[in-house]
Amino acid sequence: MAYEPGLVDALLERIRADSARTVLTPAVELASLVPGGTDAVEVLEECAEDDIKMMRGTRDLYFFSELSMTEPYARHLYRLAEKDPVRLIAETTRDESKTYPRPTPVSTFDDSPFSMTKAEIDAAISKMAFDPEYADIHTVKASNEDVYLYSATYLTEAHAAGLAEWASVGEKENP
Amino acid sequence: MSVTYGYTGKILRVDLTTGKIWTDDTMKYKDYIGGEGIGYKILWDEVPAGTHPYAPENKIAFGAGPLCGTGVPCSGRTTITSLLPTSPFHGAGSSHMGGYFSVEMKYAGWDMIVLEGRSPKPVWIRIEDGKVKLEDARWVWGKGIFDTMAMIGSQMGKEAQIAAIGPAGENQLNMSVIRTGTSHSAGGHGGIMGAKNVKAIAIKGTGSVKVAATPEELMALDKYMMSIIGANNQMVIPTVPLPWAEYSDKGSRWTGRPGLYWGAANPPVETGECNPADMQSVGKRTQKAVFDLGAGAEKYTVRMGGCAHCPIRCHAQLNVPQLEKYGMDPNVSNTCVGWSGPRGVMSLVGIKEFDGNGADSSIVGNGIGTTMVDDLGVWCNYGQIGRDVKWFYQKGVFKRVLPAEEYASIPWDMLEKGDARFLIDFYTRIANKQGELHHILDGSAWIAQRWGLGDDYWDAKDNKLWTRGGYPVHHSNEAGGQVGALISCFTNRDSQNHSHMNFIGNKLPIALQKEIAAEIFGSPDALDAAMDYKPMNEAKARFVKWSMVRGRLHDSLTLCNWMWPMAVSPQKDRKYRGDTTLEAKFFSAVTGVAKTEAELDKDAERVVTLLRALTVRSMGTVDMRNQHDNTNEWITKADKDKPQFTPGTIQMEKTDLELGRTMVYKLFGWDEKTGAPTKATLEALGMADVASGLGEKGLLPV
Repeated sequence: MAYEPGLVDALLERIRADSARTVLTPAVELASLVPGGTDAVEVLEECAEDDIKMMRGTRDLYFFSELSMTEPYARHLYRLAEKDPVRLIAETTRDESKTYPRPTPVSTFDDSPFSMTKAEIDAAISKMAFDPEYADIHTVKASNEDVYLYSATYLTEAHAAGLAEWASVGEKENP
Repeated sequence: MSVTYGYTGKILRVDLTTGKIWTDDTMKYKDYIGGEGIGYKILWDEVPAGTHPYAPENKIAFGAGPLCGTGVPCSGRTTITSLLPTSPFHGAGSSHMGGYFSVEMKYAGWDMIVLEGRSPKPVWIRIEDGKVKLEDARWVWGKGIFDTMAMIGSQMGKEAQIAAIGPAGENQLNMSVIRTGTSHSAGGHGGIMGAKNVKAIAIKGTGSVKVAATPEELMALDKYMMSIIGANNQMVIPTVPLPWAEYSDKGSRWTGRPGLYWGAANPPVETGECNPADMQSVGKRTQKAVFDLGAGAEKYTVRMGGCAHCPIRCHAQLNVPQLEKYGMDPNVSNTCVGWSGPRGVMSLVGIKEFDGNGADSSIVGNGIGTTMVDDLGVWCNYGQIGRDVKWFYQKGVFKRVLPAEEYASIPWDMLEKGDARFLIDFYTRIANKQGELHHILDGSAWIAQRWGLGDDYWDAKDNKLWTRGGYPVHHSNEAGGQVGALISCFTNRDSQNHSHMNFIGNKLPIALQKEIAAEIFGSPDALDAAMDYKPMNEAKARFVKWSMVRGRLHDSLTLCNWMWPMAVSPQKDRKYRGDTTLEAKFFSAVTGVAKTEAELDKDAERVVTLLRALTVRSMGTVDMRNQHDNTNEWITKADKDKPQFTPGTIQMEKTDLELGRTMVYKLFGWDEKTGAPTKATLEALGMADVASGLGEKGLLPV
């Protein structure tokens, strides 16, 4: 389908500019860039260049450009945009338990790019314990009291405990 | 003399007994590469078995390799080789320091300095290019290293590079260092300098190192290398998620990030994004102060320092004004165990708030610890001193072995309260050889005999002692299971090998690591996920051999094994692959002698085997498997509730480790029963003289 001149470029430019300042572009914010009756998402699905990627959330669709951010980083931003701290913490933990594999220090979430408050983190972890959807997420503590989360789908308790102790204590004693 | 590229072609020889100074030809040792390799060859040729490390007959070599002084990244290391006083059989070993000493040595025209004999009075050695003079050192004898450097520097000029010992070395204490710069210490050989009555070596060089390649060719290789290099220890992902990064790990040494500063710089310097594509920010990737000392160190950080020709600045340079209260300079610098070793003495309860230092007590305490050991020249034996203090105090060993009056005079209350002023008292006593306490610097093998320490000392998991040879873990079974464990079995001190650790510890996901391992070692099974170790296999043995060979290669070239080899990179476009041929590429470019990766590794294999031969000769037995390579019991027994080869334990299995030893022996061509080098292997490596020497002593396996 042919769109009016400059329309596609305007959408791409907006997404790339947002990504360059490390924010996702929600689909809702693209609506003002297209004429009435035109769906920005349809335009992008049809005409976007290779660097433009889309993530489908429960609240919106989000776009980003791989020229400025990687897909894993965009995924962090996407989870933040979804404003569901419980899911954010659980899915980040699952990713790390599966990928590296390693347990996730709870302190991860008070750091960039999450920047959650202690109360938000504590609340999310507490709620998780009562939701069967997150039954695989457990906590484990290193001997210096650092708390870690892990997904039992990918790590056993003994493995998570060993890795947590190494990360918090052992590695610092054996630099 | 014909032109030699990379090498200066000259070794400085000094007989301290007679004052004779002469020149030797480096190139007659070229089969042993440089640095450590040549140092071992000189020990083999010239220091008889049974020589005491502190005897005049022992020799100590300060070595640089052909890449040192050429601008190759991370090539500022000095390798010091001699007999090891801490070893119960005085085996050979190397100690290493970074800084600028070896580069200055090359610029002065020397590949190596070899000292022998014993001076009748304290001296320091003045080297100004080809001019070498033994100078009276009585006016600096007894001084700390900081004063010594300043005073000798006043005679030589500020451009001089100095390596010196403190009171610990002068007093011929086994656990003492030789230090250069503000914070670069080689542990284990300070007492040998003391025994030779040499306080310091000071060098000024005005020459250069000739390189075979054109400047453009070398720069192109440097630039390529700069695209491969990561952060300290070749960690290739940042601590927090960053837009350019696919992966992150809070434990990474790639700490640079937006919002993290060198906080005491004027104005403060933000480490920033540190995108791998930006070559100019490589030096900001490793904000080591916060990694080594915690977040509280950020505001005290002036900048990162490091070694000659190294883009990775891993020495945190801090300004801690509170140190002046203790008569110390507020400017303090170090890295890794340079911080944790001294503070380890406080490990009974750690460093708590003390003397009104509030929340910054830990930073101040670390500053006190590192200042004390860097001035007095004390070595920690890779952190063992701290574990020993804790064990001896808790188990009543100090109370049992120290005279009552001495015991009562030690401020144990400070240790119990976590008051870091304890470190001032403790290090002053031991470095100055006061009381029975100072024997803690004899090293574990000797104090176990002197203080009647039994199996419980050796076999306690928390003591981390690897063998009865008296050295501890250093990236051992916690680093790749059998890979790290086996690497730790073949040395006469802590293995100091980072070839495997720079790979295992790069923080990439295990699937990626396994892919890369398969490309280098022939199977993804060379590497297990951390703490999920599987039984021994041939690929792990190849990983062990590669790590040992590259360790010796780096200490001979001389490159920093805390960065090299470059098995991985931070480059997504390269699928995180590094380039393990880089050493050979640089060697060929610098020396003009074309070597492939395999050929250069073969040269380094010669160095590994020579160290093995030296050990056989020192111990007077071929039975390396049972007399040398075995480990303490905790390594196979400590985790009673976690069976071997189940997730969560680093516990090894005895039969499996024996199998691993056999596999490694086989790969090196050593006798599979004893682990000693065979005549055939030695001859195949061009070491017929070594085979002959061992044969004469009946030390070749039959």
